[in-house]
Amino acid sequence: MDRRAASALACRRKTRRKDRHLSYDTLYFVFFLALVWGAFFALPGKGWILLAASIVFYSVAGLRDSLLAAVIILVNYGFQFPVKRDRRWLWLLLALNFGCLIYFKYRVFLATAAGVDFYERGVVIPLGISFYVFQLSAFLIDIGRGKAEPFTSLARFSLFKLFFGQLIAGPIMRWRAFAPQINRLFDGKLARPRYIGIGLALCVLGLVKKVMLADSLAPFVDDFFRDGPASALSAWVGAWLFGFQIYFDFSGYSDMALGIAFLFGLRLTTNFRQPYLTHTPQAFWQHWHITLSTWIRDYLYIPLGGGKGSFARQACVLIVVMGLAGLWHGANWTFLIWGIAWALAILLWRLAGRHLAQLRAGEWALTLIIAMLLWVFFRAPDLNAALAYIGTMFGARAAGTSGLPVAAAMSSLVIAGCIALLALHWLEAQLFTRRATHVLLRIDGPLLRGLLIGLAFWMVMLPKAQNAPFIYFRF
Amino acid sequence: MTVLRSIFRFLLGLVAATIVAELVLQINAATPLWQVLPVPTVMFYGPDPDSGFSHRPNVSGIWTAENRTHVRISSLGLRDRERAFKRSEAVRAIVIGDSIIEAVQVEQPDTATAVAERILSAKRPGAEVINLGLQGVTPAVQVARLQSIGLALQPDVAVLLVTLDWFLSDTIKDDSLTPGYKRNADGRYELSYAFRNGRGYKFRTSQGGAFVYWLLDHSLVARVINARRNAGWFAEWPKPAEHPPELTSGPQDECQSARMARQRALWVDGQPAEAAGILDAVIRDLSKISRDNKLPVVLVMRNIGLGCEQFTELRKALTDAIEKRLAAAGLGFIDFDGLLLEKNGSPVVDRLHGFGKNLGSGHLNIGGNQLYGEIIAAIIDEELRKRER
Repeated sequence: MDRRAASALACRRKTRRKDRHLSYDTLYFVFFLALVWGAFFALPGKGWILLAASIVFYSVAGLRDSLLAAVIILVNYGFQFPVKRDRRWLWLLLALNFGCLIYFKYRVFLATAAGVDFYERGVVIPLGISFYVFQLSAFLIDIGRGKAEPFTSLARFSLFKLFFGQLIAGPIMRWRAFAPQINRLFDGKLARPRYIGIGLALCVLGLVKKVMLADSLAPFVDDFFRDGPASALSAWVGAWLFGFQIYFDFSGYSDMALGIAFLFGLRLTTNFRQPYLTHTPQAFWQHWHITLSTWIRDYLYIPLGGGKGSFARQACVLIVVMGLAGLWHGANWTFLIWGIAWALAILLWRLAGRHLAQLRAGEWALTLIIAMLLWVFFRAPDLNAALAYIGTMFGARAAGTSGLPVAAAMSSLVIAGCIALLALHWLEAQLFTRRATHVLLRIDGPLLRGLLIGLAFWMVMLPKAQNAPFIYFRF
Repeated sequence: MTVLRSIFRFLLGLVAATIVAELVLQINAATPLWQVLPVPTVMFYGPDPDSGFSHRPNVSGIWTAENRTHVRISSLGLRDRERAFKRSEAVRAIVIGDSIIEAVQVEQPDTATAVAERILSAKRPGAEVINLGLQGVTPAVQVARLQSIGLALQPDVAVLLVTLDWFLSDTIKDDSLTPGYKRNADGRYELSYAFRNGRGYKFRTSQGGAFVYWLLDHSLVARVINARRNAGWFAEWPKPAEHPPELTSGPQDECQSARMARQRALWVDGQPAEAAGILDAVIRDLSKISRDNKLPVVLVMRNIGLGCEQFTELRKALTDAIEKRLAAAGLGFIDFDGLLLEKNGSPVVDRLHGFGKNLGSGHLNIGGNQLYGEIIAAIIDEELRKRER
């Protein structure tokens, strides 16, 4: 292993994700949710009940994380009005928020990149810090721009950020979409019980994606990326499986987040819209982790002058912005390269989009291939491993020993399974239609709710293939 | 009335969900999807009056821990291929061991005993090597198993794969779940079967228990509940820190402790007295079985601290003492680690254990079973040769 690879590996080892949290795909969370839901509908003070539940939910992460979150929330709450009066306060507060993020998430990476090693004992990233820092910062910027109003109540402000349905891994909610709903809860308005069926259906869909699909793919993906692919075909299969693992994992979490919110009469922003069916890289990002993409567009890309000026200027802004978006996912060069590579793909479409569009299905296939190819940077432990893996994908020397089954019949089954994953993706697109929602609303009732609760119960009861926390919890 | 109707419909929904879950799991288990999608692990253990628990005949299903395999328990109630209870003219050997011999992590033809049978039958047509492996068995259970099913199979040779540490463990005298050696009124250590009077055992052998086993054999949803009950309802609750899995076996981890000295004290000096009393009883009982049935019994001892430079002399003293003790009782002794070193070429046996990302720890993989099978075949062949001479 050369020095750079060793340094990247050391950096990864020293920066660990938080493993202590309440996970949506567990039986104890189902009991927690049932208890909170019962109290929510039986008792007055719905906003307070959700706030208390959210505090309990986050406190499992431990004292340090809870205190940090509390301090950041308090400071942001305290400086809302100064920000509204004078935008100079905004810069101070943003420096504080992003300073915390950099300190807790990137200090090992930055120190290692600078060639110093201060952190022998390693760093544990506070749970959900990337998400709540982004949400709070968006809120402050919106206040500064006059697009949001400060919260007068600390409780409402705290629930705005701490709601356990989106606390750890988003969606990153905006004031305009979420604050009125929080205010409604605290004002004692009706909690929209007609969405309970939809909420339960989304929870079941999320659990199917996480427990049945993402967790089942995880051991195979681990093998491919740990041992390295033995052939070009196995390398593509490994990347393809990871592409679907991370999609099912994160979109499964997001579906559950949406579903949980619906159970309490809240509506969160949709985070995924079948990204692998999109025809261009730009469209991919409009369908993948939508709340992060729009955050980056509204608070980075546009303010930095993206979409204006010469092509060269736009290209520079896009590369910087996508590089930062990549780094948001983790403190590693691989994430930076992943983001920049996406920027280059978007630029390619800007240059040759008209010609590529003539390919029709070919354009979709090309986008899909690029997405799967770039996932290698996201998943590989370091840059060297990623490059070796990609080399194998294009026929270079085998990067490792992990291959497809020797028997032709079994190999064919694996390929068929890969195609089936795409088919599931397409099937999901058919589920997310206005018509399907109307049908669900029409048949909602005790029978449907019993069925969905039962399915969710069996899903969390299933034996876990391995201890596989949600991937995006680490960001 | 409306409330009652709502409750009824809700319950109907729950029942429908259970049926859907059962159907999905059955489809998973019956198609190649079992290798990928979640399936509950097979529950093939049941009550046994001789060993506390053993395999239930003809149960089949998917084993999911460490490596997914399709396991079928034979009609004789063994983790073995289907075979006639009555022996033929050909050689028959039995191998009694723990989960290493049971080897549910690999398909039956890949188990060490199946490998040994193939090797042996090439030299001795029709030779049988029967797998009497059972998870977590102590030498006390091995004696009980030899006395019961072992002798009933009328073998020509019995091989007991024994992990040395058991003789210093408290489990060997615990008879609450499996047979254990207890001191009787005369001060002698004898096999004791208190588990037969236990509530759990009585339930398992009752009509109620039979119904539960029937349910576990036919419903995958029932297996899910059983697996959850065994794992703990809140098994996923966040824990402070996860420890790396311990190595199941392998001579290389022997150097981590001063176990060698304790084993030497037991085998040479007879200390501690209680463990020495139990050791005497095990040797006495095995010797009696061997003598009464004219059955060569070979104790293949594992974990005697191979590869520990600092223990070379201690190890020699210990193996000499074990061999002397067993020979005096008419029992065979094999230093398994010595043979493993010879076959493997190194005391580092990581590659023989574990699967996928856990390579190096856990039970034997296919390569490990192959090597163990070769060693077992050689041991049996040598014992048969001795007998023929």
